[in-house]
Amino acid sequence: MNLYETTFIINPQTDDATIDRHVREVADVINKGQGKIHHEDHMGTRRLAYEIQDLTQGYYASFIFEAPTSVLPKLQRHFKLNEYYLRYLTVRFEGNLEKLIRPAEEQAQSPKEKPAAPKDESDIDVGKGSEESLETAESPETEKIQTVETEAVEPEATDESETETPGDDAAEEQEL
Amino acid sequence: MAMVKGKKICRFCENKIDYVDYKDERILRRFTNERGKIIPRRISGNCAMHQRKLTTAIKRGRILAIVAFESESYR
Repeated sequence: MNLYETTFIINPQTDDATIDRHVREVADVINKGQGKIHHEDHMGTRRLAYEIQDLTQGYYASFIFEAPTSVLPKLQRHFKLNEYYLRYLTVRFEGNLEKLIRPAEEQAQSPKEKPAAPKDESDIDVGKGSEESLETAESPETEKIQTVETEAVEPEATDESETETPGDDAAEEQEL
Repeated sequence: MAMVKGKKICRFCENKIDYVDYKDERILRRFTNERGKIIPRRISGNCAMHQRKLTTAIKRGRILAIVAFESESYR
């Protein structure tokens, strides 16, 4: 059993129910082959970087699943036989699955989970104060951590690389 | 254009990203030029490991029409 990620594009020129059915069909193929779907992502209708069958938009969806290798040819066959799949790509998933799954769970359980986690830390410091005051003191801290995490991803958006490259590129072309 | 010599830091190491997602258009766009070519390591400053991961991600993204193989709107 290996972890795989399959991403595919569906022709968006049908109604939402049909698109959803096509997504479910892929899930069925995985499930029938004793696969287990861990994560499902419907990215929705996006602009295509180039035209495929004269279309400029496509409906993107992806599954991260664990399955025996026998599923992969079945998946490929399914994609090939049905022409409403514009593109498909199945690769071994090498990212962090827990990172993907956890944020979704935390959102659902946030009222219960969040106060419980700092309690463990407060147990160590019981001598300093009552549990209640510690909990209130630590709750903003957890919020801070969350903001730091989101910021850590965002700075990627710095323009430096974009400003650097056009100049270098022009220089390169002149050399040629 | 004389670039100031200095250690370029790999953006992925800096932000502790160990997996480059081929579905993330923003990242793939950042490391390709307007023609759709992959920006070399000597310019972007990426470390070898991350450049390797980025390259496969961009190539996968091209298959899925997330980034273009090449752009005609040039010149």
